[in-house]
Amino acid sequence: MTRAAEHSHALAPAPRRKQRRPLTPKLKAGLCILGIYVLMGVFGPMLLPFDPDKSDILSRLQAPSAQHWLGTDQLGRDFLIRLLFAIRIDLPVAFAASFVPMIIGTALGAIAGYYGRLTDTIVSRAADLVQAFPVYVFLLVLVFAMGSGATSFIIAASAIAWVGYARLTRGEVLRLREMEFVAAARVTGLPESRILLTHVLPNALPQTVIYFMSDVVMMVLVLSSLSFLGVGIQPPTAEWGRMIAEGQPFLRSHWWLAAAPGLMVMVFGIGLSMIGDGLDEWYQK
Amino acid sequence: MSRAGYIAKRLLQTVPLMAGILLMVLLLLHAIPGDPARAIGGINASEETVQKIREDLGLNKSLPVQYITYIGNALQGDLGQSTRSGRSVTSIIADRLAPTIWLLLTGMVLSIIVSSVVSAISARNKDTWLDYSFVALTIGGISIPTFWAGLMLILLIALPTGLFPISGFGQGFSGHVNSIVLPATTFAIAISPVMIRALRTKFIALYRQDFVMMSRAAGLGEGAILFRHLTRHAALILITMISVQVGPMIFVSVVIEKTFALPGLGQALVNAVSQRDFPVIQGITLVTALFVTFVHLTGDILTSFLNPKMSLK
Repeated sequence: MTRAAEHSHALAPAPRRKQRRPLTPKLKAGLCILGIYVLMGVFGPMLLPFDPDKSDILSRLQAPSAQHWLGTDQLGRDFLIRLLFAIRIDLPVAFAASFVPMIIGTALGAIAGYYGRLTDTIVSRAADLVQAFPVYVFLLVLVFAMGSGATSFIIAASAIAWVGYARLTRGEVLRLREMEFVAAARVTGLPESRILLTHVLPNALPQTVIYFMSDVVMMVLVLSSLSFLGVGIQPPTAEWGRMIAEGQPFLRSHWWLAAAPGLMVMVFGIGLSMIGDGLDEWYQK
Repeated sequence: MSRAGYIAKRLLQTVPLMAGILLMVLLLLHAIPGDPARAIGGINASEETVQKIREDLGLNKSLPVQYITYIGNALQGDLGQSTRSGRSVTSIIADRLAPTIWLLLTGMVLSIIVSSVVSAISARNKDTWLDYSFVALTIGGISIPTFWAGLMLILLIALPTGLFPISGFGQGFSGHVNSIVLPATTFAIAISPVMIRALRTKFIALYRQDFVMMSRAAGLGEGAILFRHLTRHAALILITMISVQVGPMIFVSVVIEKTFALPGLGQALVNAVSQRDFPVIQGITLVTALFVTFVHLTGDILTSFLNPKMSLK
């Protein structure tokens, strides 16, 4: 974070007048992976003439063939189209489950860091309390209490994941508000809220964006874990974690049923990690 | 502030925290939309059953009364009864504790060993192909779903060799050891990458320090430098990492217990969730939250002993 500090100082007075910098190789590779996933998710299922949720018991557990390229699952559904359809669940849900807490956490952290005193005490103690829990176990229980499904997952994730963003933003804002350009802005008579929104916060955002990327990876993992445990996305909807769980009994004979969805998760995670790392390098340039 | 004062203050800070934890656990019941008693009983429950659940759980009393009753009972070790089996939650937890403790301990030890060795090698050989391949493995490792890693271990090791059971906890000590090997390895695959990331950065910074150069100039071997000097510094960040990672560790162990059908607390929690057995869910959530608080506290106190420079505020 110290290097990020140098960078934000360098561009502190006018964060918007950045010169265009070439993307780093890591960033390019990561964006490529993400792009491919989005394309596969949007167009993939259109190219295959199957219904991802309709079971056909007579053709269950088929090996890969010309008709079903990756074979069929335990209910006779085409496995490839389910793998691709899951992109439409896992990606938007994971992004939403990171985006909502990002907004909440950044706002709370900025207010706590900038105005201090009572707001800071309230936000910091609330954050302590959430972190005293084994947060993902708590998430599991929360999703269960509200009823399984994507909406519950996003709400429960927001109730927990805002803490990381709030701590990060609070720290950055605490540091930034003591800097000269903030004092300068104050001298010109700008209202405090305007200084926070247009001068302090934009300089705190790069770290938030990098954290967001690792958070999305985490959320895909947590979502698939919850579905594996039977609490997340409910059948018959295709979701990678659920598909791994459904493939577990057939590990001996049809290992790809459990292996392939895991690879989908892993490559997606690698892609987003590369975007995060690449952005870090890019901001520091 | 003196160290004794710091420890006393840290201990005192846990009191309001525990009160908060107990409140959150109690409020879990009210996170259920609609009438919790109706939700627990199920759609087909008769009005008397629902009324009985309401009374058993104390839902007919006001929230402050429920809260005080819950704290009072919890302090006496009474966490209520399972709504399914009628057994006391405390005894259910006691029965399930052993596999979970085995998994957490072996998994943690393995993670510490793996991450220390890998990060030391990586930092010593910084910017070589060895370092790069470790870094690449780390990025991959962070993105692997835990349960998937476990299934792949079953597929690639347990099924072909037949050396390890693919489910259950085994009988006796050797049975326990045998059935904990793959779960503990899965645990290490899930937890080590994050720790390696932090430790590698720390080791790289340490290798740049003047005292390392001085030791080399004085003719000290690399092994001696690493083990006599650097490990002490690394131990500090390791304690911090364990403290930070304990929440994810518990989640990981829940998932692993399900994957390998280990009869531990995590499996009890998942079962309770699928049976809507609220007192058990509350009890296990409470116990794990207390465990997390305890680890955080121990971590802070240990750090205050190991790092004389730490400001004791």
